[in-house]
Amino acid sequence: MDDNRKRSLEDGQLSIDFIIGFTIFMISFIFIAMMVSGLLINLQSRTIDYDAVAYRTGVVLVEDPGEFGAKGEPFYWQLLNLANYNERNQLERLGLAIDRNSPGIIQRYKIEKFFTPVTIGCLGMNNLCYPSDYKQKLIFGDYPYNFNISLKELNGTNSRLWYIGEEAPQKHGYIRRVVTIKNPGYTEINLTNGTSDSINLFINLYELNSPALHPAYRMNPYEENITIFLKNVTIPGTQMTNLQFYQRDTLVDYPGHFSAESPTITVNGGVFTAPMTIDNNTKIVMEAGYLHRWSIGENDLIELRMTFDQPVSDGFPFIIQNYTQIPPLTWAVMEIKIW
Amino acid sequence: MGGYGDQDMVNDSAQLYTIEGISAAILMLVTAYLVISSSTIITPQETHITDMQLEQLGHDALLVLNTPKEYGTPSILYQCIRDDPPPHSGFNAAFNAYFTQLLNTRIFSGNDSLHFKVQLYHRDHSSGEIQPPIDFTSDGVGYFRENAVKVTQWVKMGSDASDPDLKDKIILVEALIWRS
Repeated sequence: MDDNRKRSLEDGQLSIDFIIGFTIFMISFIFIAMMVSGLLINLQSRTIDYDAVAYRTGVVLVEDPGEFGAKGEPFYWQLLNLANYNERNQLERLGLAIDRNSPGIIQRYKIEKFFTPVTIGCLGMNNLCYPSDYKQKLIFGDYPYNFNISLKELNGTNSRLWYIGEEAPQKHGYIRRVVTIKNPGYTEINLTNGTSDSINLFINLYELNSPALHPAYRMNPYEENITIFLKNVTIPGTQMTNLQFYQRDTLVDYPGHFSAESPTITVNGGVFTAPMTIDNNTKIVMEAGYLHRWSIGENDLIELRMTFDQPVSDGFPFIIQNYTQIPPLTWAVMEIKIW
Repeated sequence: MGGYGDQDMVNDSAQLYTIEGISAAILMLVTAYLVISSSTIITPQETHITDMQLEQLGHDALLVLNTPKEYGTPSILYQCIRDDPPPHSGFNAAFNAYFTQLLNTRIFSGNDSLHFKVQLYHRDHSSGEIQPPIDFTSDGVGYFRENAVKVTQWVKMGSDASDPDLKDKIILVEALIWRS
């Protein structure tokens, strides 16, 4: 019995060595378990993620026309009046392409709208909010990425430069894209000493939208300014006495009714008030978004009727595409930095 | 079976020398931690990122050259191939100027250093065989096994090509692009 009791006192005891060894093991285990997440972060290279986001942003900007409202709607988000809360809420995604089938061809009015944001107090302004709109509608993702987007035209001395965002740190995701920019056309009408004192300019949107012509070379009154130059004014002091805008045969807009706010129709930079003396530099602009404002259908027939106090034409209607030049596409480089 | 017999068996073997053991363990842990946390591990995916950037840019540049600037006019790529007389000299100054500009222009930080070599492929009308590639142009910088990408565009030539072999052919323009 004595022997047995002695043995039971020693057997099953934890030795100091075991306790020390077990303690070291447990401490290391806890130490490593706490560090594993940190170690994994180091294994994952951040630049891969930044590069991928930069690539995605580039694709959305250059190959996508953007989106607003219900799916399948047209892509002219730049015509939304962002000062209006409901219209601002419709904006889903920013993209600069002219349409879904023309990757790499971007539209000048989308560029202008995209690169002219408001930083503070953008509610009630017809501008994008920097940076919230860009993060939510272009870059996406839960991580609050910072960005710097710049676009430079390669057009000799006429090269324009647009940019947005802060200066990028040394380490950032990067992509460079080469694109073409579609520019709005302009119309020149030569006056003649004919028999009629009016010019009826017809804009048949259905014909202009003909699929026979690639969208990059089309006149697009819906999304671009229509700029009309009156040339060959031979009778000095000729006055424009009336300017009316018709949708088919329905009078839509006229002097006294023209809005002072864009988008509207301007003559020499201001709202038309009769009479207005014209010369060879007279410029009439129907601003981009004007048709959208009046809910004109995309395939409608519209007409500008100008009346003068002198004979100006032979009385034949003017079809706008016969007098319109579409300037060549210009090249541009876009750089996107994400960090 | 006395207690003394057990005591005799106690000796140095298989004992943990505590201080040495602990310091060795800490050394190993710290080393492992430093090694793992400090090294930048370049995965195969990461080199693909630069390839992807190069490929995207090259594709963009060729596409831009293959897009007519005005309706009814041929694209610059078409014009350059059309005006390149046989035998092709392997140097087309007009194409080089445009392509270099598109590839290498950076907006704020000076120009990039991308180089290229462009070849043209077409099939023979009668036999349908793919003809040996025509060395169309390069920017004169030799290719020394740098990491390169290939980008392509199709061009439909008309009957106005100065090389009779290329008349009315569909040509695959293949550009090899690398950074050096």
